[in-house]
Amino acid sequence: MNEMDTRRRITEYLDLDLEGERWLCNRCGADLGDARGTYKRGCLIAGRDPREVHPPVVEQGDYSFAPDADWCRIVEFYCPGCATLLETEYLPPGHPLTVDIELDIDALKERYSAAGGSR
Amino acid sequence: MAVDMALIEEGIKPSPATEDELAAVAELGPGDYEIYSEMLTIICQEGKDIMTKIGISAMIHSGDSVAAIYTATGDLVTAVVGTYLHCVTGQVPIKFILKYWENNPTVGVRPGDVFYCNEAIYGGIHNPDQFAVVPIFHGGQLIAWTVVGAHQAETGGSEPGGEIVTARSRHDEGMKLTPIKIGEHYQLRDDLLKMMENFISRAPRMQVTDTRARVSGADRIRMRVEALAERKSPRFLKGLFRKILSETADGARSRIRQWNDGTYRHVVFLDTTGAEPGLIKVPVTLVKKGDHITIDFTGTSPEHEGSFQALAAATRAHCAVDLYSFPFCDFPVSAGILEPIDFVIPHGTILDPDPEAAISCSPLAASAVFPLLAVSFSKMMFDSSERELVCGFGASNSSAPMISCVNQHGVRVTDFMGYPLNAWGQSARYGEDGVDVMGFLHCPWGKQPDVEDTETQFPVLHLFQQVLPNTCGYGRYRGGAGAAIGYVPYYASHVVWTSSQKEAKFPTHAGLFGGYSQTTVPGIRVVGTDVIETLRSGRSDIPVNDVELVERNVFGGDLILEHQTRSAIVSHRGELFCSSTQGGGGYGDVLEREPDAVVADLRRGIVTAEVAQEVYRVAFDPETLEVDEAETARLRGAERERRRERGKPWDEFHAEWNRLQPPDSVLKYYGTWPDARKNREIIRI
Repeated sequence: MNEMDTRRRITEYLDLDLEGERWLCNRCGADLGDARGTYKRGCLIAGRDPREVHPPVVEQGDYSFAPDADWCRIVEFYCPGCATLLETEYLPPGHPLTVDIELDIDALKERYSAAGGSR
Repeated sequence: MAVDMALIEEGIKPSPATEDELAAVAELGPGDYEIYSEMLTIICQEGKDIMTKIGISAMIHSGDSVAAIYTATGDLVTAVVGTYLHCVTGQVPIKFILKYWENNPTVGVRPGDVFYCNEAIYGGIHNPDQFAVVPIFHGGQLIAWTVVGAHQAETGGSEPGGEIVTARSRHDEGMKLTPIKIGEHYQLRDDLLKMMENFISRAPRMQVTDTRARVSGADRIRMRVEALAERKSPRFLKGLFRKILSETADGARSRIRQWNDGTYRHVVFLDTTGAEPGLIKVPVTLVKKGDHITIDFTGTSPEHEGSFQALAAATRAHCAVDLYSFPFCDFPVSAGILEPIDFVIPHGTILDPDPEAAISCSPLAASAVFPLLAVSFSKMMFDSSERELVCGFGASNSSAPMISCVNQHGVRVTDFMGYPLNAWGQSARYGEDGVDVMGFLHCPWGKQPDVEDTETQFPVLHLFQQVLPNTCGYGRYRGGAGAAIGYVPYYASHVVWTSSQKEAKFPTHAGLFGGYSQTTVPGIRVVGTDVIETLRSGRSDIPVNDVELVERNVFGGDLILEHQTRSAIVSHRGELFCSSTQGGGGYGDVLEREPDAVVADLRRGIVTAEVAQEVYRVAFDPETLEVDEAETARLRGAERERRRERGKPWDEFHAEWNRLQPPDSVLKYYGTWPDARKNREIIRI
């Protein structure tokens, strides 16, 4: 596999360096960590009050047109290189983060080796 | 007779091909598959059209329906929808009838029989969905089945509307018919129609008329398939049916094979049990290996006493809606798609509670799978030739208010309001925005009735019905917007409203790749006033959507903001009842959205100036709305700096995050925190 063939675009913002087994930012190429783990470990992470993004219409009361901050927070994952917002989660405060993508790296290597580096 | 769980769980999978079927496939001539598979679909379309023309309920006309053809053993061959839910759910009643009634001397399955059912335990969704099930014979041999069905918004439950939000067990939910024979010798039995009418006394005319509509549609399909068998032979149909199933299964496996092997996850949260607000967890783990996928809902919150939960068959059917709508949208609607896919749905959770549980609002629980599968499949499909099918689908809300009253024509009616049902925003897609006020997420072919149609059928006026600002999920590509809808009873002294909508506290996240979720929308009422009198006064500042209403209630009375899930409410003439809808999730970083697109959204009322400035970080002239490119670049650069400041590395983030937890009152029905295991007993009376 040559270098070009081993870099695959997995999502809008995530590239995979298959040979080096690293997650990379699609926009700036920043290293986001071991591809056998979650790219989220390589991100800057912020938990935000949903009212910062979804403007409430009323400030007081149980229903405001914004998610209730007692129930819901927005967790944002930024690229440490270019600060692109790579992923968001809407979670109850304190709820464990989601490992959303776990690729079978060995299967991918085998597949793309068998295909001569391309599909 | 105990509930046959094995039949229910395996009933959606196609039966293995027999040697005789494979031989019949080999006998098909060139072009037979292409021509006659299309003919079967056209036959289904005719059956569906007949049901729609005869039927009267809003859900038939809005399209929550199905007309389908099945093999002699009950496997779905092809369908016209309506909603994809019902093509899957039609299989189990047929297989039940074959297993328990075909050789039962008190029942039997004979030419001219008409079976009927609306019991969700036997493979359905919830009891508002009623189905006519008709066997098709040729020369005394059973050669096929047809099912024609549609949702009906009255079941004779403890509250009007069929989706009984306060139901605490199945005994609050009204008529539930296991598959029974309601017709013989091509005639319906009047005694059984009368029994149904008696159960559905809030809308007796609708019950009997729509039952006849379903049966009429099924009977037309029966006649057409019988004629085709006469012309081409039953063996020809046997080969054709199997070819459709096997071609679809082979195609599904081939498509799955090219996606990246791995494990994909997403989690969403519901915000009500129906009876009361409460946080409910629904996660998915999707394991893809080779040409096989397992969809696993382990970790879902335990079942509760409310009605927002779904039996496993309904959960699987909602998965089918996702699968037929996106990853396999270009495939025949056949059971073959489900052949390479397995489900793990833990019993005792809200996705498979005890059969005694209330489940009449099951679509509002099971539709959690819409964003779950859409987001996880999108992450699996992005690196493939199906990238253009990447989409967050939509919220899992997808319901509407139901009205019960004596209408202006003196007829007792109970029905869904068809417009809000078909007015949910679609999530953003790869490379483009979602569709505004797109439709009914269960039902891609749903139809929004005109204002005039609604006002002719029900005694209400529309105060407003238009796009509701800031309801979409923001992103590089934004979700479609939702709609603001306000009703005023006018031609009646009062009406009764119920509503099974949700997401007033917590949105089910349908955003993709850094896109934000659609937001929450509260239920709103104005009571103790007469909106009609205010309109007559000629005021020029009448609010035209929910936000303006909350900011400027010119009607007086009491303005109430409440959860969208609402049990029966009596609304008097002149009072206002709002039941607005959410948009869809966004896609990608908001800072990558073209500034001109943001301002175009502002001009159209999709977003407010506050969101354009504070979320998208776009600078523009407040008078001309001309974009200031240089200032926008500066604002966006500054926002990236703020992200670097507030963003923390993994360990530092968790040191603070792990100390947080929602209040106990919010977690009453959640299960243990945070893993949502069962932590209390349910007692149903």
